[in-house]
Amino acid sequence: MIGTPRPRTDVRLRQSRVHSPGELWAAYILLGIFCLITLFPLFVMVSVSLIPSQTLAPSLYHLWPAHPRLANYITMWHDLPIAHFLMNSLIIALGSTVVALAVGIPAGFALSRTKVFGRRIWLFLFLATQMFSPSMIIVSAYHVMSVLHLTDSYFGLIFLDSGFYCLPFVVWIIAGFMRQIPQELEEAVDIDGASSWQKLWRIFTPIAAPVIAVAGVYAFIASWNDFAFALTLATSQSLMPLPIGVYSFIGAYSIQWNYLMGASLVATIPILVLFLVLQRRLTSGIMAGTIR
Amino acid sequence: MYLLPAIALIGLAVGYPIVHIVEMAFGNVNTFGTIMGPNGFQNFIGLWQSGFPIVIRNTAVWTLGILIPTVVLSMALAYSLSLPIRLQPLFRTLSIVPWAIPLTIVAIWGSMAFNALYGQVNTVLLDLHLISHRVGWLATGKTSLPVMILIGIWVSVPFTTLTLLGGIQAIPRDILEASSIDGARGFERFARIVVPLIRNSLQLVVLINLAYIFNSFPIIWVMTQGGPAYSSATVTTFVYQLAFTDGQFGFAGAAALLAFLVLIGVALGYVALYRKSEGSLL
Repeated sequence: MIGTPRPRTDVRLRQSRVHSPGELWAAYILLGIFCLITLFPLFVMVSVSLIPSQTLAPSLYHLWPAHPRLANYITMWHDLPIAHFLMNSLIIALGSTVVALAVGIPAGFALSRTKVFGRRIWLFLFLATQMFSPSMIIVSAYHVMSVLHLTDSYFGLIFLDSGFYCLPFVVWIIAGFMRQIPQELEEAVDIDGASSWQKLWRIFTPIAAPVIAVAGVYAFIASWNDFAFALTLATSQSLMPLPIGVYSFIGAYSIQWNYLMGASLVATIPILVLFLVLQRRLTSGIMAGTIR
Repeated sequence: MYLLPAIALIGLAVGYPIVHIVEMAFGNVNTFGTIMGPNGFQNFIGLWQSGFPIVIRNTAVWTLGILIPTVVLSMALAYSLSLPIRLQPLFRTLSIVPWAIPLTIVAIWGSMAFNALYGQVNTVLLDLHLISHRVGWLATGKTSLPVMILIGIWVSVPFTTLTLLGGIQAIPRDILEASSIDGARGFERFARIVVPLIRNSLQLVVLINLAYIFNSFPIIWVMTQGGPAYSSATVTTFVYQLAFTDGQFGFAGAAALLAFLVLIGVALGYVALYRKSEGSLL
């Protein structure tokens, strides 16, 4: 009877010897409290978004409205330019992602598979840009944008978002992955006499496709979450991405928190979904830079 | 050649702006941001006289006040998630949520939830009998900075926890089992076996969080704009305020330049760590 699988209980026994019950209870309590604190803001956002406008002021501080009104979302959609803001967010985030990938894939390839001059220096410079604050960069980037007449246009925002938020870690993630592709594969193609341009698009890009997809999702999230650039450059409402659009209503004399929270949830859900999709791969890009 | 478009894009988006910041820092800049001529160190002196010492203090409180609790709490959470507990996937998923909400939205929520009149946080604290009357959390720097620090911790924990969890899960099981035979259990094992073994992950999260927290802008700008009177301003919000509210581009350049010097130090530390632990690219 060689090869009989060990019974499961044995593993449990071994683990229970390693971890005392007190340790496990402490873990449950800690995780439970943190998850409660985590869910509280989302819960408040949902409950406030359901308060009917007529009773907003008296019921705002209650934790759940007496008469929740789901139709608030329809009213909000009609009364505030939410759809327009959402469209802006999509255009800017998708535009930045496309630009960053189009520029970043060749750059990542060059920095990992070719003997480009100053390879380490370029990689360091890309990384170093990630350490700076967008709200400080924008002080002088605004000057650049006004010289180029890009202050109130999608192009200006896509340009800055892709260059500052997306490109550096797209390059790092792709370079890091392409470096691990075995040399033999490249040599096999060399015999066929492929140019490096063909190698990049026919061999390396398809192999790296899953990693490129992850980098693209990161880029999308980073651009969607931008605050400083859009706050400064999108001065007219027609250009504001959703988070900035919501923020712009806060200055109003009486703030319609129920609609603003509804709009906030609309701005959150796409990112929340992407995070859950990425869940197992979230840490893979961390070494290559942060998500702001 | 494949590199040129990337360098051009980053050069225009980040490279030239940094050069321009240096020019502004040492230049005589008018309120529209046009440089009129050289100005020596006058901007730095002016900056110092317009509340910068308070801002430096706030930045230190903000950065360390978020960094240290975040790392300690994340360490405990990561270790908890590494134990053989029930519902582990659920806990893991829920603990990512604060990271997945756009920071601007978190800050907008915060300015509602901590409002003196209708803030829901006051409601909960009143129900729990932790306070006796509604508090205007965001009215003074004394309370607004701690409140915003709590929010900062909340949004920093998920990333930190996941990174540390990755480190803990890379520890060979045998080591933990061997340690329990030697009689190390619970907190003792955590402190004496686990923590030293994930030193690299710890250094990594400290450095990344350092840059991230130091640079954090939306929470403070949305909730207090650094006010009243700089009492909750950090360098990041101060630079923005100097430039776009006060029209003091020279002062803004000087403050940004000082911040960059600090951040370059962080970047160099990061590279040293990267070379030590992974080292394949740089």
